[in-house]
Amino acid sequence: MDLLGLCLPYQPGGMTEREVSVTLLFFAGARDLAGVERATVTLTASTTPEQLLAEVVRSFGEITNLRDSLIISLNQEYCEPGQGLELSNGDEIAIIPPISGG
Amino acid sequence: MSDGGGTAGHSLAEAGDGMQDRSQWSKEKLLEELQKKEEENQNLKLQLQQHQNATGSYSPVISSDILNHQLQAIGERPLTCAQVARYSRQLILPEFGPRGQRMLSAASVLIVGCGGLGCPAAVYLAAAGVGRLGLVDYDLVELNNLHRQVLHTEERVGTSKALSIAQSIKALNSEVEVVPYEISFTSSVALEVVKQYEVVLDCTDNVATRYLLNDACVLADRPLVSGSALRFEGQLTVYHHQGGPCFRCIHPKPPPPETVTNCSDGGVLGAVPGVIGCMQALEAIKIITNVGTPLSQKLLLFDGLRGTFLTVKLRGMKSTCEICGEEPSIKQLIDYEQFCGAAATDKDKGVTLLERNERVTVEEYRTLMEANKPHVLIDVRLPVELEICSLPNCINIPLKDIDKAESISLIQKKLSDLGSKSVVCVCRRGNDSQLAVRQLEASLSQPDYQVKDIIGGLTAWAHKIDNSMPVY
Repeated sequence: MDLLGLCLPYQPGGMTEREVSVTLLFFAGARDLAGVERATVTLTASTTPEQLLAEVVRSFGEITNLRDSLIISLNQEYCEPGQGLELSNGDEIAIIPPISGG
Repeated sequence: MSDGGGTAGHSLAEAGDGMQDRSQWSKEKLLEELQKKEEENQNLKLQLQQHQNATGSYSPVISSDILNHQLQAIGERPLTCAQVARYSRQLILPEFGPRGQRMLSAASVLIVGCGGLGCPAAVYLAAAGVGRLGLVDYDLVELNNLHRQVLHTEERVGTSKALSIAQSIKALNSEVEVVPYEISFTSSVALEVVKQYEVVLDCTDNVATRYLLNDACVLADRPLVSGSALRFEGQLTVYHHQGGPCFRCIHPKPPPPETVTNCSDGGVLGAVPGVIGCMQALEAIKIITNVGTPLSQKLLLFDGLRGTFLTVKLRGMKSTCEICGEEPSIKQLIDYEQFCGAAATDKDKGVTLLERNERVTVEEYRTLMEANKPHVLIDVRLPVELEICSLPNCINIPLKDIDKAESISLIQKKLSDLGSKSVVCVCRRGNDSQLAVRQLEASLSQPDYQVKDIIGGLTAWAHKIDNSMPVY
């Protein structure tokens, strides 16, 4: 898979950003707002949780209001706000708002 | 017991190297010796385990428990015959054993919230024999609680939830000391109550109390076993334990109030908080007895529809956290309703968006109905709710679809068929109907349309006009 990337000629100034296909998992309120439990989307590979979310909001705009209270996890690991992420094809990104009912 | 202990002690001394006479030793010396022997014991077991692992041979597992006569020597009470008989099925678990049972019997747990999570958590902690159980809830039992809050009974509808659980627990295990607190859990009392317990369970139903309880647990340095449930989903984690994060490390900002759904509006299937509440009891038992690995720094997500669990690894404690960080800015409990912009309850918030002249009472609507005044009645609830009850001749357009083009054209067509300009919106309690009125005013192009809503919704209709209509 990555061989293809390696074969690409050098592009000065990062004209095209590498993109990967990942699976989004929506939980609780995010699931209701997105209208789906999971979705496969194409995202920029070099990213941060904030950038990633901005890209997700482009397709699933309804979750905008939840933005500041979400947990984003990559392959079941919590992503720190501002953390640099290198996504790979097939990665699983969970979008988890808190539940407060009991 | 003392005979058996004495004999065993004698034979142990004989078997021991050096044949020391310990009868003259001080308590401190005996304790020191005991600790030394325990360490030796552990090392031997470790060596044995390594030997077994290397050779694949089998040896019986040696209990890590101290014998009863040794307990007496260090002033701890051994289990009674009744306790052994009662807890026998968990006593024979090698990881738990009499040691775990004694720790549990000596431990105290505070359960905040006596609802869908609190009931299963309390019942399993009491059944397992926790020493003291604090139960906090200001609220009264309602009939619509019973599908999930399984320790309450039909007879106790209208009585205190904390007392109701206490009563059920006493009937299950009279050994457990139960302390009901029929109070609102506020900043002025939270810390004092939390301090009196070793482990705290968050079984609450609203965001403000969750922040309050988190902060109280950090200030009092208590582990917080946090559970939550809604619809078919549940979440579980342990905060402020073994270097793990607190609730604020993960959620520094409270969610906007309009994004928070409660069980009353969103619904919940009773078995879902049942699963999470049982797991909260389990986590508390693990923390108290030091068995297994607690869900610290891990968030467990339960999807009841799929029947799946997903565990997400969380971050550790955040050094910049406002309450548990290196330089905390929050040093005492604050006003959590203000911080969250929402009340510390899951009760209906009561929207007041419209003026009185933009609304009709249920009595006024009945008059309008009986006079056959032409109008379009729009029920803005979900279709599933119309299966429970509805008013005659309504059209159903859920709130989320109300400003869609096809909805607007449907309303306009209905109005022109009737030769009317009057629209009335209705919902369950008269909150969503107000939002619908505002949206329709913006979307219906003709300004001479009259759009109103019914104050108190179908609940008011059921109470004041038609007692045969079910209230949910």
